[in-house]
This record gives sequence, C-alpha cells and structure tokens, in this order.
Amino acid sequence: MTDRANADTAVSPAAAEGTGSSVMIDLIELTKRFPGTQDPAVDRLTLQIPRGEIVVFVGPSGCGKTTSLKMINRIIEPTSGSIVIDGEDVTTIDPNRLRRRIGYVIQQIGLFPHVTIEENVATVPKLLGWDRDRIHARVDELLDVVGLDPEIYRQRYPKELSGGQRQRVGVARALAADPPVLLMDEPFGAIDPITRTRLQNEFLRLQAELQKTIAFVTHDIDEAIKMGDRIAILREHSHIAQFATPEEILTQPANEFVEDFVGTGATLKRLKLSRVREVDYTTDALTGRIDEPREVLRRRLHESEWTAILLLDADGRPQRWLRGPDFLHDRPVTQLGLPARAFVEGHATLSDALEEMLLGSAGVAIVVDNRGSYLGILDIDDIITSIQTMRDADAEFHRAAKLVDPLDEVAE
Amino acid sequence: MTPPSRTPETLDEARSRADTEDAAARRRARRAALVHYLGMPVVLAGVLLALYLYVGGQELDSIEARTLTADNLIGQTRQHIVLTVYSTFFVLLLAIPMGIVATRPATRRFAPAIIGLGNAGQAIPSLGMLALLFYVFRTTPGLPSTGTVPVVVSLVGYSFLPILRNTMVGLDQVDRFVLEAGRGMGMSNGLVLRRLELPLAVPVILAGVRTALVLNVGTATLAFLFGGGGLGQTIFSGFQLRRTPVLLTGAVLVAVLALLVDYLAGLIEEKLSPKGL
Amino acid sequence: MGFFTEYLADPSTRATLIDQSLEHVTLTAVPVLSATVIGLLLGILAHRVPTVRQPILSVVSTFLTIPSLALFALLIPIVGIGATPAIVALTMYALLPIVRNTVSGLASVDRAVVESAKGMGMTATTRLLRIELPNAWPVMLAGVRVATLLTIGIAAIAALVGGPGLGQEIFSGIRRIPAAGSLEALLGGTLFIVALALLFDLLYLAIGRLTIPRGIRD
Repeated sequence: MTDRANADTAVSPAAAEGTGSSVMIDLIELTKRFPGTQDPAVDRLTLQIPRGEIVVFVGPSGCGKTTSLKMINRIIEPTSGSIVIDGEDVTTIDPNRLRRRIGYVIQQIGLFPHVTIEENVATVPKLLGWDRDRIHARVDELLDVVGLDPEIYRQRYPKELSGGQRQRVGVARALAADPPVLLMDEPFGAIDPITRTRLQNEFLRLQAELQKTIAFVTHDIDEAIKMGDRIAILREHSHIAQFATPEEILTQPANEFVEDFVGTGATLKRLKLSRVREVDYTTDALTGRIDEPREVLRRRLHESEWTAILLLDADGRPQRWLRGPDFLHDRPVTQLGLPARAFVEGHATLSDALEEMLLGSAGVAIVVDNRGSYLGILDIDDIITSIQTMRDADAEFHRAAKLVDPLDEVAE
Repeated sequence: MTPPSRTPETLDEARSRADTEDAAARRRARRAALVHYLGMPVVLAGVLLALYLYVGGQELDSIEARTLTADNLIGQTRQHIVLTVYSTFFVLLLAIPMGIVATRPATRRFAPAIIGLGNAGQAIPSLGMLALLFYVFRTTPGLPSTGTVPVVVSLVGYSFLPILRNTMVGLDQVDRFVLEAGRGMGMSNGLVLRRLELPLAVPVILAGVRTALVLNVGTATLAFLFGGGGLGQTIFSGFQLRRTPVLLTGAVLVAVLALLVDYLAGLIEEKLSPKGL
Repeated sequence: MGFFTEYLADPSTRATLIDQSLEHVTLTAVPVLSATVIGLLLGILAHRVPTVRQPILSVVSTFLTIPSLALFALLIPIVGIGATPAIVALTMYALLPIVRNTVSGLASVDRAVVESAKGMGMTATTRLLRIELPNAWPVMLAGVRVATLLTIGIAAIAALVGGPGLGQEIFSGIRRIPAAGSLEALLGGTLFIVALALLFDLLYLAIGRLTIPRGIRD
C-alpha cells in the first residue's frame, strides 16, 4: 500500500503520459456545468486513480460524485477539463470506442430484459466483433467467475433472476471484454444488506485476482471504507474534502467535513479494515478427526487444557464441537456436541468475523481456507487485542504526524 | 479547494440581465399561450375564408346554387349541433352514473367484463350499429320512426359503450393509494367517494364529455342516412351529383365543426380540471 | 334466425360477401401497413426530438377528429373516386394510435437499460435497433392492433362515397330500410366486419407470440 500511495502524490499530469505509468485514470480540471444552472455540478475536479486500485467517490447526495463518475466514460460530456486514460487523452475521441474499453456497472443494473443472460454478457464482445466460439467460452467463464452456473443461467432471462443474481450478471457483463477500467455507480445500492455484504466480499476477492482500475461511487461511508484502496470524500461541486487511504481518513480526517461525514464509531468502522489473516489468531487449538474412536478423543480432551475439541472430516473441514460432558451421552460421535458454525476466511474483515462470532453458538469464529479446511480459531480476545493495537498505532501516528509535514504519507 | 471563479458581475448588471431573461421568458410564454388559444380558431377561420373565396369564385350551376344556400347550410349545421348536443347529453347522463356504480367495491368484479365488452364493441362498425338501431326504431310499432328521436337514440346507443368504458378505466386509475389512505383514516365508502374519488374523477368526466362530443359530432355526419339531416347531407349530395363545390363545402363545414367542438371541449376541460392534478 | 341463414345460403349473396370481405381486408391492411411505416418513423422522430413531439402528436390527433365522411370527401377532388381516398384517409386515421404507442413505448424503456447500452459503447442506431425498439415493441404492437380495429370499422363508411368493402352491403341495406331483406344486409355486412376484426385480433395474438421476446412477455 505504501509504495502505491507514494507513487501518486507528486506525479504531475505530464509525467503520467505513456502506458505503464502507475496512474491509470487522470482527471484534469474536469468541470460540468448543466445548461440553465448557475453553479457547476462538478468544478475543476483533478484526481488520479492509480492502476489496479479501487478509488471510491463518496459524499452526500448532490455533491456531484455520480456526475464525476459519468464523465469518465462521457455518459455526461464534460464542459471543460480533460480525461486521460492509460496515457491517452480520451476527452474528444469517439465516445463509443472509449466506452467499449470501460466496464460500466450501475445501481439499477440495466440488464437488457429482452435477451438472455448469455446475450447480455456477450454485448460488448459482439460489438468488438469477436467470433462466436470465443464469445461463448468467455460468457461461460464469466458466469463461473461471478458464481452463476452457466448451464443453468446462460439461457435465462433477467426477470427470472433475483436482484443479487442480476447484479452478478451486471458485473459479468461489465467484465466481458476484459476492460482495464471499471466504473461502478452504487453497484450494490439496491440490494438487501445480507446479499450486499456477500457480493462486496466476492467482488473484493475477484478484484484481488483481476487487478482492475476501478472508480466506485457510493453514498455509504462504510461501503467506501470496505471497498476502497483509496477514498475521495467529495463535498458540493465535487470539491475534494480528502483523498486518502481508508486508514488515513479514519485516523486523520483532514477537516471537520470529513470528520462529520465519517461520523461516530470510527473504531468499529476500522474493524472493517483489518482482515482476519492480519490478526494473530490461534492455530494450535485442540482438534481431532471425526472418525477417530470416541475414547481416544475423550482422553485427548481430558488431558489437554482446552474445554472443547473441534472435530474435522477427512478433508480437514470442521464438523462438530465437543465438550467434556458431551461424551457422557451414548450416541455416535457424529451426533455429539454442537455442529461447527461461524466460518470466516482469511480475507474476511474483523467486523464480519465479530458478527459471525456473535451469531455462532460457540463464541468463536473458525478460520478456514477457501476450500473450507480448518486453519485456526479466532475469539473475541483476539479482536480486542487488535483494537488495542490500532489505538496504540493511532497514538503513535498522531505523535509522528506532529513531527513531520502532515501532508506526507505516513500510513502504516 | 478554492471556490469556483466566476466572471465578476456588478449587482446592477446581474439585475438587468435577470430582467431581460425574465422578459424574454415571459414573451415566450405569452407567444406559446397565444398559439395555444388562438392557433386553432385562426386556422379554422382561414379555412372557412378559403372555402368562401373558392365557392364564390366558381360559376355555380343551378343544382349547386340550389344546394349551397345559406338557409340550407345554416339549417343543416343547426341540426348537426342539435344531434351532437342531445346525444352527448344523454350518453353522459347514462354512462357516467353507470360507470361510477360499476366501479364500486360491491360491483367491481363485473368491471373487467364490462370493460371487455366495451373493447369488443369497438369492433362493431359505426355504420352497421347505427343502421341496426335505426332499423329497430323503424320496425317496432309504437316508436317514432322519423325525425330527431330515433337518430339521437341510435347515436347514444353507439357511443354508450366507449364512454362507459372510458369512464370506468378513468375511475379505476384514480390513485389507489389515495383511496387506501382515505379508508385508512377511517373514511366511509360514501365519504371516500364524495371527498376523494369524485373530485379526482372530475378530469375523467371532463375527458368523457370531450370524447363523447367528438365521437357524436362525427357519427352525426351519418344522421342524414336515417332522416336526421345534418351536414352529412351536403357531402352526400355533392358526391351523388358529382358537384365538387358542394362536396367540398359539406366536407369543410363538417371538419371545421368537429375541430371547433374538440377545441372548445378542450378549453372547457382545461379550465375546469382541478389545478393540482 | 332462420331468415338470416336463408340469406347466407344464397350463393350470389355469399359470393358478394366474400368479395367484399376481401376488399375490406385490403382496405384495412394497406392503410395499417402504410401507417405503421410512417407512424414508426414519426414516433422515433418524436421520441428523439422533444421539440417536435407535441406538434406531431397534435397533427395526427387532429386527423382523427375530422369525421370520416368529411375526410373521404375532402380527398376525392385530390385523388379521385374509389378506393384511393379511403386508403389515404384510413392511413391518416391509423397514424394516431401507432405514433402515440411508439412514443410511449420508447419512453417506457427503462432509462437504466438505455444508459447501460450507451455505457457499453453502443452507437445511437445500434441502441435504437437492438435495445429500444425490441423493448418498445409490445406497446407498439398494441398500437397497431388498435389502429387496425379502428380502420376496419371506419372503412365501412367509404362505401357511402363509392369505396369498396363490406360497407357496400350495409349501405344497400340502409337504402332499403324497412323493406324486406334490408335487415339481412345490415346484419350480414356488420357481422362480417366484426368477424374480420376478430380474425385480425387472432392474427395480432399470433404476431405477438412470435415477435415479442420471451424475456419481456407477461
């Protein structure tokens, strides 16, 4: 994070010319004045979006964040200023040619209702003149990537899908021609909270692989903190109140506006920033194989300092929690104790883990890998320790910030 | 971030610019209103003038001269208007109350059937329907067989279904949430009807008046076939006698009358509709 | 109803009714097809250029306000007697439902759908042909259907000024009221027109089934 963060602070527009630069999208003095209005909706917005990062535009409604986003693919034509993408000034090129290189996801999704999911996803590849076999293979690949079985969904129509599934298709459609840049306008805004969290997590996992450059609009600071590598907090006329990493915005708000906008509960919000894998969770908890003799398991628990033993199946997937008294019942091991619940993966945030923990019966979360195999145990103490560490780091940060130029990047 | 720089403008400049813009907007609005209110009458007057000049410039033969007398034309126009007004009055008198009754909660289940009948009724040609209704009058002993009455009844019979249907569809579209809110506040069905539905239905009724007028002024053109007179007579004479001036005079007068009726009904609709809707 | 079956049993009556039905179909189909082509273009124009929308709708609805007999008569000095004035007039009448439904059909296409098509780099023409028209089609087709019903009925009046079609049978009945045989002619002409209207309705049902994409069918 540090090297990327340093890269953009001092880069002038001229230095960004040419491909291979760390800046992917360069907005220079971008201005939009709608006819019949006095004040510009967007006033000389200058912002650089580093290659492979998610930059979130967040701000109160009417601040111009959506207008700013829609000027990047010129759905809204800028009044003045310029847009440079990957070193090429695209302010005046054919907008349709520009848009075919930019994936576009909007809140209302806008799937074409009259054609199948396959044809929806194939839209841009068709416009680009790909051959049929290549399109077909690409559609299957993408549906797979967004977690929809191509066999089931390829020939369905949008109205036959749930809101969450439609948004997955929307993402697949935006990714179809493998554009280096994605624009996302409140993509998860119209989806129920549970599905939204799942889609956000899936999307982050996908982004870790794809490394797209993404401009992302939301009005929800929590979503911004979760999704953004960097956040631009915008106020009226798209003036930038602060453009920084989520950590920095939470620990060092640039002004009162940012402070108010971030609101209370900054500590809880920071739990969304820390990942389970970054925490020192317990990896030596007592485990056993579910097919081991119960006497062996009982003795092992009895002789240990643990109050429960976690049983795993042959693939290492957690199955059941057994406590001492459970062995008194005369039932097969597979029916003793409690079923193992509250699984989290390494990339889950501590906030997610905390939630799982509170919902699960055992008061702990089980950390698993992406195949569901056991890695370790995370308990509430681990989270409290981590919050303590953050607080200490903040104090450190503030001391350091007083010593050096506050505009410098000091994160982490 | 610095505030956007604007070209400095003195207060006076700003005020005078605003004044000019205002004045321009007002002028535009006035011109639009002028076109809106006077456009149609001016066009119709122009058409009548052109007709007058055209017919006046023709050497009319004796047949034409006999048909195109002022008495004749004025009489037919009067008949046409009388037929239109009577048939509109009676069809509204029948169709609107029936439409209201047929959309009550108790009778609502019949509504789709009636609307469906109204839709199917559109397939019946006006000529055939009028003729059949008139035939019933001519051949049923005890009913008047000539004059205005059978023609008006036929016109009413023809326009009844469409007007009923429009009324019902219109009432049905009165915002259900508004009605539900009314009931939710404890208003009785009768109160909901009087306080909410009828006021909201005023535009529907006004639209019905306009539709009925336009429909009837058109069908009244066929009244001459059944001894009801009207301007259709002049058109038909002109056709049968192969006299273009007569044909055109009848056709232009009918067209102007219909457009004028539509225009006036439109004005009334606009003036009487509740402002908030 | 015995008298009516007798009327229909007469071979010469049957031949006349069949001939007139075919004429009536032509008198309906030609104006509806012409109006569909013209109305589609006008509707797209009205959708794309907001400033001409109201003028276009005003003019085509003015057409429908002019009583049919008058419009037929107005056209006779220009295009002559026979089927031609009827076809021109009926085309003018059929325009309103088609133009209106084209405009409202295009306006009803979800803005998000159009914007995402734009965002993917579809040109205005591609967008119109591949996205907007297919999605507006059910509403447009309903407009064509209404236009057809309207045309079938009004076409009967063309017989009064020398036009073809089933109106001739009705007209021959009207001239004989209340003489024997007049009711049969009135009923014959009217019922055949109603039957044609029903057949056209079935045709539209089939066209709808075949042409409305499955994803936007009810």
